[in-house]
Amino acid sequence: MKNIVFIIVSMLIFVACKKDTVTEPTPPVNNTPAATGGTLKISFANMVDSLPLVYGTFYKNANGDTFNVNKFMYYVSNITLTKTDESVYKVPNSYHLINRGNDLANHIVNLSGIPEGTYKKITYLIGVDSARNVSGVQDGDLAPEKNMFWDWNTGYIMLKLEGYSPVSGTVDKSIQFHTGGFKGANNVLRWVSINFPTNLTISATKNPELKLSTNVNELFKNPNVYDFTQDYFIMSEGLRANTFANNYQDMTSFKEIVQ
Amino acid sequence: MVFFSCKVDPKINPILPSDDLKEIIPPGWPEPVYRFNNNPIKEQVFVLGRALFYDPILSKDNTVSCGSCHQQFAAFAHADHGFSHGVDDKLGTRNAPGMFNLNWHPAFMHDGGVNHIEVMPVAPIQNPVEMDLAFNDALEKLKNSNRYKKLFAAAYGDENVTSSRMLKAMAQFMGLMYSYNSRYDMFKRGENGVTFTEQEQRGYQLFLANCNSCHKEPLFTDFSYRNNGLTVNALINDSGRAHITQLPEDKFKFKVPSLRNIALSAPYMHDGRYATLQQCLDHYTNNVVNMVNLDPLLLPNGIPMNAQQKSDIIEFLKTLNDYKFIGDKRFADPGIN
Repeated sequence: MKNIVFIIVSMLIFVACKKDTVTEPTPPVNNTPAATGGTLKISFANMVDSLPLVYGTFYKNANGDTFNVNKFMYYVSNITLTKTDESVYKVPNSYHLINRGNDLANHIVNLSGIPEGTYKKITYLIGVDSARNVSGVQDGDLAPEKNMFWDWNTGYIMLKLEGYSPVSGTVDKSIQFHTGGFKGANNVLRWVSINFPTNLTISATKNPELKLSTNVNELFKNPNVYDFTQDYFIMSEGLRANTFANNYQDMTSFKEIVQ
Repeated sequence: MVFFSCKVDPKINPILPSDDLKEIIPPGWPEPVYRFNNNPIKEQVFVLGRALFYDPILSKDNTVSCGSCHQQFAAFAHADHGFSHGVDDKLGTRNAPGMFNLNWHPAFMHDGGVNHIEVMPVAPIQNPVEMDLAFNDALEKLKNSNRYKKLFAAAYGDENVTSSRMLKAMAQFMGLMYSYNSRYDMFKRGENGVTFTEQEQRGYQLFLANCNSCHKEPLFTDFSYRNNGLTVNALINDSGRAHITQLPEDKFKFKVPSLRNIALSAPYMHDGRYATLQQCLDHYTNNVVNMVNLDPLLLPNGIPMNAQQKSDIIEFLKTLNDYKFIGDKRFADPGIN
């Protein structure tokens, strides 16, 4: 009987691993900040393909629809950093709302207390893990007044993009994409893993910056091309939010490391 | 100075010194879902929560408070209102439920959409047909209020108004609303020589046989979502639980309400369509519609009861009125808003 259970469980694990998806790092994880650790500045530049995203400026999506953006916010949480020796540091209480607002400066996440060493990879969740969705009121970037919180169906809006497209089917020609959902089939949380082409050195005497780049057009392109005459509005969890999350899972890529 | 700022504002009705504010788990009740973790019970925090609950400052035009639609004499339901009216007399589409023993609720609202008592108030504050105030603006109003600066300082040691402090204080006030002193409770506990009349006794036995599988003792709900065969109001077309889960099998299901204080909290059902308990029982004998997702317990013909049995059940339900709870001054409007 035990063998059968083992086989079934192994099959389940196999099935679960079959898709080429990123999961939370599993090696022994250290989540205690180092007393003499170093800092890391992570900046998220918002782009539309090769152009910097400027709110109100018109771009074209992969379908050829004209659009602009007036709001683009998303959560990055559970940041982990992997060293070249495969050991993993998990940043404690790591919840960051990436919201550039109207300010053209890139959004910055400042981390400190990172154990010294040479790192090769960053992994994080787009969104807020389920535990923080079910534990009552939260502080900081997770406070409900950040306007990334569904009050009628408790949970965080993991990513929000709003803007305008002349072809949108809404009466005011707006486009609005809000994704949420953290349970079962409606889970839109996506792990992201970004390898560094050059190693990142953390030390008490340096202040390196990891520059990442998020491409808004990636949200509407791959694997599903969005046609704003048909798809211009997501406001609840479910299949459509999930499909959209599959699109934005790979919206962010490595740009450079400034040591 | 520190000593002075920690004292409760004398204008705020203090809690009667004889009353203890503490977590209560009546004997035989299950463990509550909410245990005041990270929200230690403290008189000044409770007083802040109570002030917020009764203060229309949390509505757009300062006209509607939580207490407007959750009245203590109706066990914190909205007496005689099928739908409640928010700012500008806008009408909602669901009946305001009673509030008591909230720490046992795994989720709130008729559709279970809110998963935690601490975030519960955000929904009615922001709802355009209730208090219609962006949560950010609610916080700003509190930050600009000298009265709240004092209340927050008394509760938390400094004047800093944060959403976390605000919502935890409200959760503390609401979570401490325990209703466990009805005649039924005293009868079950063998207190004060309380006995049931013959009719109440018959009603209790009928209740156990016909109602208790959903309105389960001792909380008088099993907190499940069920379709009890109400005709769908086509103008509202409220899909109930399915609005939250997006699952077709949840369509037209609503949270089973507690029957505690039920005789105090008319009207009934998620849309307040029934004005009396008699109408509710008549629904189960005559009007259950065999529709999609109808609860199997109501097949094939609702719940068979004759007129005498219905009146016995109603007499029993009245024993669930908790007059100590609805008269408890700790939960009353402090009267200074």
